[in-house]
Amino acid sequence: MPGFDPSASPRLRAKIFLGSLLVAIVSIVAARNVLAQARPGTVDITVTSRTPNAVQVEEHYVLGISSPLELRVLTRPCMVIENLIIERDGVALAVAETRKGPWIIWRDTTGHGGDSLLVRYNVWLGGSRTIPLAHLTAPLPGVDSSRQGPVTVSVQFGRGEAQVEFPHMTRQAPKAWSGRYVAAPSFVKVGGPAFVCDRNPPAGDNGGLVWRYWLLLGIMVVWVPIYLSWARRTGDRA
Amino acid sequence: MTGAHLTAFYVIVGAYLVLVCGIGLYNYRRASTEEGFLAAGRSLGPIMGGATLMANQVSAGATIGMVGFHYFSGISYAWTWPLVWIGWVVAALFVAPQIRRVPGLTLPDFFAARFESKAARGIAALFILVVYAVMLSAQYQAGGLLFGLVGGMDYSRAVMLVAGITTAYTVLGGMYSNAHVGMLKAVLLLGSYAIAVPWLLGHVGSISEIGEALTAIDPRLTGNWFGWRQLIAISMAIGLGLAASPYEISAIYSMQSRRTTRLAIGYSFLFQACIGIGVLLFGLSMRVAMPQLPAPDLATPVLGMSILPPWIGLLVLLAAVVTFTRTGGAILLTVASAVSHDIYVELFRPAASERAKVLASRLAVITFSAIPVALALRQFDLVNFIVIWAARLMVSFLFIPVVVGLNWRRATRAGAIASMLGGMATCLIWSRLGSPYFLGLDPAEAGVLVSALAMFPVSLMTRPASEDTLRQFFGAEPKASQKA
Repeated sequence: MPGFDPSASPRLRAKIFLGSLLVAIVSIVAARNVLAQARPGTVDITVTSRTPNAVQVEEHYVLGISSPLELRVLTRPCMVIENLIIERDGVALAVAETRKGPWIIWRDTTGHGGDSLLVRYNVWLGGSRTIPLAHLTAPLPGVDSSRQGPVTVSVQFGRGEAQVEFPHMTRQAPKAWSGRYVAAPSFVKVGGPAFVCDRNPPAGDNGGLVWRYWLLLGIMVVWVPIYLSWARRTGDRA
Repeated sequence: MTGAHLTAFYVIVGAYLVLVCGIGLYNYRRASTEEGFLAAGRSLGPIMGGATLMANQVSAGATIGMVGFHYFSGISYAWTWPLVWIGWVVAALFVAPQIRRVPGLTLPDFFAARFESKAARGIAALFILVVYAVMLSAQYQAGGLLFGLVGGMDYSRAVMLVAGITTAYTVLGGMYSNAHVGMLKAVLLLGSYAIAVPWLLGHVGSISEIGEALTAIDPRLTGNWFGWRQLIAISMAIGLGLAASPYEISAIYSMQSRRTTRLAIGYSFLFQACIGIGVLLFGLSMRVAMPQLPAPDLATPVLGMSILPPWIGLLVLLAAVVTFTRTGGAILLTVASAVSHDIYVELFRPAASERAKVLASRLAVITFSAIPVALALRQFDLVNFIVIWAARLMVSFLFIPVVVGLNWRRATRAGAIASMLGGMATCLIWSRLGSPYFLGLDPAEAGVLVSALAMFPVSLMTRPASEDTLRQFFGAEPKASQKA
């Protein structure tokens, strides 16, 4: 190896030394990235927008669990999810699909184990600007509350100007956005004109949240002026 | 949070620090007497007073802990707001007007004056030290979680930073600073929630859409995760505890008059209503937007850091920082008064100069701020559970002696001491015996019941307070013919 040749010129030796140092640094950084990627509980989600109405979502998980999986995805009216592929350690999983309110649930029926999980699907947005992201229905082991969250979401836009409105992401390139999170968001909302969906979905079951919310608000709205008018009428007596 | 966003967070927190220290320095001279330091010279008007009462109550338990509670348990916990307000009405009717009849600075002052007992004063002061250490640890824990997640800071360092901020402005300005920072807290909370809540709903969905998504996850999220039995028990602990809470009573002592106090309670309802709705919608929206957070207490930090646009997020995070530092300040001040005023001055050095009293108060703030740090580093439970536990102890110990003592002439020193000790012991034993309801009673209910059972018979069996004392609190006793 020339690096060990004592007769090499000092300049060459410096170049070789600096070159080796650079290679070592690059290797360490690459190894750290690989280790970080391999840490259980990490998730990489890539959203590729092909047209304003069609996107592909690809999610890579390092699970750290061997139990059967259940994934959940939030849908909107007129939205269609198709071409679903779920692979665990490279083996395609058969999933049972059920609907529960606005969520679609995919349950693994094969019971195949493995640490890595790939989920890929296409979404026809149907005029909505909301892109659903599938997520596991149970928390992943190894996920902690460190600032460098284990979930990375990247959005690549195709044609046209676009930006990510929800959740907060930073622009990496003119058409690329990304963000890092403590847990997977259930959707990404992108900017741009939304079209009105002409399919009126049947009213779902909100579990009484609406009337409970308005009753609570009503009690508060009534309570404050009634109390204040009483307090104003009282003098400084006991 | 990285780069410019993180820098902006530190700049805004730094600006807040400079501002609160400025407020402290501005008030330093005014807080040079004991009445100035501990009771703001009895100068607070209704709006400033309302902000102070709200700022005492709306702690990290609300802006961090309650958001987390709504995140994991849905809407039902929100019913505690109007239920807790019943406790405030009790305070407006049966505590605030009566307690202002006799000059005092702290709750133990009341015990000493009403029951003519140094022992009652000392027991109350010691109790305040213990329970408020727990309460303060919840504020530090919330601060540690927020700074740890948002600023990437080590949790223990973050806890110490929060303790440092809280101590600094409390030492400088006492109750004056607490009142001004309370107003700042009200403005920041209301302002940031008024911007953040509509933005969040605009992106996550309407109340109905959120309801559909949550019902599908778990129907209890939109119904009754907590049953009415639990809600009433928790609300009773918090609400009735507030009616006799030492830091709220210090705030009542700081107001201009009894009428001012009643109005201030009304304005505090207004502030609380806005914050309660905001906290509820934050928690519910976050459960839909990010359903698998590793811990519910992270809902607010993650909302501010990763969900909202940077400037709205920073406002929400700053409001949370102000919340736990301000409530921490109120707690520290109450504890400092227990140590310096009730123990040092009243029990050991009654002849201490005004300067020595204020110095003792400031030293007590600094010394005591360290104890809850040790508790916060252990992270015993979710923030709101710690707050509820402390509230249970408070109501069991204080509610009956304070309310009955203020409204029943026959209450005696022995009755009050038996009531305090019996209530606290029962609450502690009940907490150990079983959950949630040993013999059908929550620890707070059992504590209050035993406290009342001790107060009435023991008082009737012992000698009442002197006529002079009773006249101060109740006026002249009606004559027999008037009674008839």
